[in-house]
Amino acid sequence: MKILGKYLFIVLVLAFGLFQLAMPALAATGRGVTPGGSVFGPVDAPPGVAEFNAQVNPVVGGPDGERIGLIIFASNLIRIATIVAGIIVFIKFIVAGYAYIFSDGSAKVNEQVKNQLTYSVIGLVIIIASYTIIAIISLLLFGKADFILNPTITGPTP
Amino acid sequence: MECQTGSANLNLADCYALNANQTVSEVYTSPAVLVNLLVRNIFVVAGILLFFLVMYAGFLFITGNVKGKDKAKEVLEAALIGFLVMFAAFWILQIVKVVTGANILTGTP
Repeated sequence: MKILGKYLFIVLVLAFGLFQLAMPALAATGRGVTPGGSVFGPVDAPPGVAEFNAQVNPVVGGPDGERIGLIIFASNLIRIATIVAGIIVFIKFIVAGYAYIFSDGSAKVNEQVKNQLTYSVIGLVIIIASYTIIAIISLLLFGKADFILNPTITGPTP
Repeated sequence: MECQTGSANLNLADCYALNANQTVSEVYTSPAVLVNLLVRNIFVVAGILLFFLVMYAGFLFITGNVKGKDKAKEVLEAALIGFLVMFAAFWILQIVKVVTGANILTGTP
């Protein structure tokens, strides 16, 4: 939390600094708007970001050349997380099987293995069903099944 | 509105350029514009967070056994309650407005 606060402070200071930087240049032009729009000039996306952005903007410089590729990145993260969960459950099943084999019918081990298997399966079901859960929640609350799964952010004039 | 530098009724919002053809005062005509903008997008962000929290709860189930079950339930409950509070916030304000008669949402006195 403390670290987060520090980063937030740095970001705020930077943003404020940029405004300060832009102010004298804008005030000097009499009418507030500078031709070309910015004193700063265009800023290019870094390599990885540019690649993700290119995936959501098929037409370079097209009408929606401003779309943000973060959603692709998030999708990749979620896909990898699902796969990792599957592998963990797979390994857990094998380990549980070994525990069963070497338990010699001990009731305590049986109970343990049973719990382990049950919760692993429940967890995997939750992860797999999270898409559906979220879709149902957004349909219930926002009246649109893809409000959360296909998020769109809008500016001051939507 | 023109940016009137050196005049007594200088409005800085007329002097700040938002982009090539708009000044700040042309878009942000009232604080409510900014509030609406933030609220609209906060719901999107909260939705994505909810998604990740549901997945996190699933992971807690998988990796934590009995202890993880309690933690996962806590996470799920907290996430859902938080989201519902966000969703109900405007309605709560509306109810307060109706009950007390205070005009707090339309912005006109």
